[in-house]
Amino acid sequence: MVDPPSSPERDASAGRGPNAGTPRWVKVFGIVALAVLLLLLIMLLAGGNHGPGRHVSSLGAHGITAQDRR
Amino acid sequence: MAPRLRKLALTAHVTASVGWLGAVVAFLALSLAGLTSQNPQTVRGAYLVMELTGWVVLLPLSLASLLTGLVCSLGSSWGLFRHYWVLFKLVINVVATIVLLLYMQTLDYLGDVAAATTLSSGQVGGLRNPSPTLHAAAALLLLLIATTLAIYKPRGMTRYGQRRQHRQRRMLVRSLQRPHSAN
Repeated sequence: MVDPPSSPERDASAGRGPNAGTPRWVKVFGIVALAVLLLLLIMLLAGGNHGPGRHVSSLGAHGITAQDRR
Repeated sequence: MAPRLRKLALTAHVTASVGWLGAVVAFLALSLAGLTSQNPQTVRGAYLVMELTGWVVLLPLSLASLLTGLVCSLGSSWGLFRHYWVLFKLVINVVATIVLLLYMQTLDYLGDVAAATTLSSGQVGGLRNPSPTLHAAAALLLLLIATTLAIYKPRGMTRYGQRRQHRQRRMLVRSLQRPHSAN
């Protein structure tokens, strides 16, 4: 199966161009991205520190010190 | 941009992007080994290799993908801000690269802890955490979306793209009308 090569000009002539309005997939993508961003923001605000300290907080209980590293 | 140069840039972009995707899959496998293995040496080795992979493979490939993507879009009539699929790919690439850059701090820390010579079995247990797996899975999902967008090129022009195309068409009509008006 051989598809014709896509180009911006072909898209425009196929009704993908001016005054076509915002496509549905863009709206769906935008809403999903916004929801994920909001969720991450809430998680970061609720969880406080989001860095090495948070990711390996369990190591503190095992007594890792700076001298132990390397 | 000349067609030959454009093809070279596209080849470089596809190579860097697909390489990045493959490296993320390998990283995901390492993170799963570090999370689930019962062998302390395997766990330590996994975190050491993850740190190395991050600096030597993931970060260079992400930057190469971003750079070649910019060259490809700006050097072709697709543009950078004219089509939604190009814009979405740019956002995905930039976000993934920034998160990776920030996450390298965590990978450095985990690598340092894994390299500690006096690590007890309890500390090796503490080294296991789902963070690298979650980050790698999220990165994989984002890169798969970017790949799908690049192949399908779904329709949709941004307002900027529409304005630009409208202007270009107006200029084309004017240039076609000029010889007739001269007669």
